Amino acid sequence: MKKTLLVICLSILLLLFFLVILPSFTIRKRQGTSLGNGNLQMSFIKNKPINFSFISDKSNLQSLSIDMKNPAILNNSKINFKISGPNSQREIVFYGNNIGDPSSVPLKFDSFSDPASTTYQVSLSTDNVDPQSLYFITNQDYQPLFNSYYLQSDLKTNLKTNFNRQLNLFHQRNLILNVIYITLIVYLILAL
Amino acid sequence: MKFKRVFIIALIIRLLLAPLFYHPDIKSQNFHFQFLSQGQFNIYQYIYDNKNHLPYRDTFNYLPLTYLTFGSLQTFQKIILPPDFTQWLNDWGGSQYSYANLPYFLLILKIPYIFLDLLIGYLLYKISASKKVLYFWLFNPFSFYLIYIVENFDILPVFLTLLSYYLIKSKPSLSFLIFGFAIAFKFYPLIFLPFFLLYQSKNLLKMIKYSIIATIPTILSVIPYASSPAFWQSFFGSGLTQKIIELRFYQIPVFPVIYLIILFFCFLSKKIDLPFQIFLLFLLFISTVNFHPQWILWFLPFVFLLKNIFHPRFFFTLLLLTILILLYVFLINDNYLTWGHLIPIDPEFLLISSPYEVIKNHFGINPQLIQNYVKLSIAFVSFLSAIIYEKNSSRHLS
Repeated sequence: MKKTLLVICLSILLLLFFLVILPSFTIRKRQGTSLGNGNLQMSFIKNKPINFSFISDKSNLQSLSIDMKNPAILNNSKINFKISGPNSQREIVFYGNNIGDPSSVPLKFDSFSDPASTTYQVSLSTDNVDPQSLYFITNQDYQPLFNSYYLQSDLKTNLKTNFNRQLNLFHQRNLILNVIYITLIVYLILAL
Repeated sequence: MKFKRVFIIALIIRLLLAPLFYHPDIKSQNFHFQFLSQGQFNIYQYIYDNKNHLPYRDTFNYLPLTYLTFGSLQTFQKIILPPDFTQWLNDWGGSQYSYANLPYFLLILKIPYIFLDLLIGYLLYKISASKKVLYFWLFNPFSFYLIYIVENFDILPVFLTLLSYYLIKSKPSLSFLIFGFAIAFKFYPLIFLPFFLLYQSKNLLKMIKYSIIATIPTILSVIPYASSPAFWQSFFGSGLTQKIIELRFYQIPVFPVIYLIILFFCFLSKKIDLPFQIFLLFLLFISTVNFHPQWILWFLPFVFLLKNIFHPRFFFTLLLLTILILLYVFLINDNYLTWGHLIPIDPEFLLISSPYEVIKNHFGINPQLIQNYVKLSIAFVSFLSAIIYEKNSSRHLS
């Protein structure tokens, strides 16, 4: 009986380690609002700056990645990136050679302290004059594809969030397989 | 501890951990295997003809027997697989890691691996007659890593080569037929074949006979595809042959030359220690080939059969080799070989920088340079471990 209890405790600990503790310690940022489907290209030139906005679904916005294309990585024009929240704004200057053919360009800034559901305005401008050398990848409505990333909270909140997340995932899984899986594990432990 | 209890504990650990790890190979292979249940016998031609319409466009680079066996197996697995499995197999977009049932897909797809893994443990016990070897196989994290984290069907040919070794003296014809099936799944056992032949008998006629037996399964399974150009095109797209001749010294490929030298000495030796010969190939392989971690599994059961494997000094060098191999793998520029394995737990693991990216972006060092040093260290420790083993064996014999 003691051995069985020990195996049960070790099994639970093993699962807790991988499912809750490990992600809580290692995952520092999470993906949030994004626009991800599309393969159209929109030229990015001096007299056509790009502006778009999005509503964040989490607090602590920390970075954006924007899908762009620099064919053969030949263009090295200056690009100004600006993101504004209700109380503050961040600016980044980068260059054409930071863009791949194509790539999702990561733009990391000091995280915003605004809560979830905040609207952010993004604007990008360039001194590029060649209409065939820099592009945004867009959807059918010519909206640039992007991902937003958010800084994780403190460890205690992370542990709680990950535990709840795993519970939710378990509920979403196939019920019959859940029952079979748990029954099998319990049966094997009892057979020891 | 009783056998039954050992196997049950090993099974519990596997059932708990196997669903938590992922590598894209298991998905891409099963993506191709699904077409067998749709009546596609010639997968090579099917992919060639439909390349532009398929959600995943890579060619199928494995042998026909692999497709037929695992395609048939998948048909049975689908009975217990969750209904959204087919949708997941064909989803190569951003949502592919968000399926709640992903751990169950992986667990069910890995059930044959669990079965073969335990059988390998049993065979190792039968061959070595050592419980220590059995426990070591069942509970060491490295074989778990290779089978369930890197997760590849290589475990099947690995099992067959070991079974062939088990039967080689008592039932040689059956042994070489089984060896032939291993080759028909994946070509790598061909590297071992000359050593198996020499170990069985140095009689030329017998060697020819067993060579023929060993090629029968491959020939029979390839014949129906031989007229299809798509088959030859896809099949020769795989990279092992290229990798084996990549390292050259004055334009001479190192691996084949040293391989032939080992084979020559094996031919000269009066009593062949087959696991040691394969261990030498293993050392040569990890020292001279830019290997993928799954390839290490080919040699692993034979390493467990080495005499004096638990001799402290030799065991330490093996441990050191394992650490260096893992270090080498973690320095490959592929996040699916590090954090990406943990996608079933949380897809956001993919957002964590890989060791390659951390070294490159935060320390400004070229990770390949470090990898080259690791490779050199692997070669040095390999050489050292071969010497230590030889010394231990000769002391043991005297």
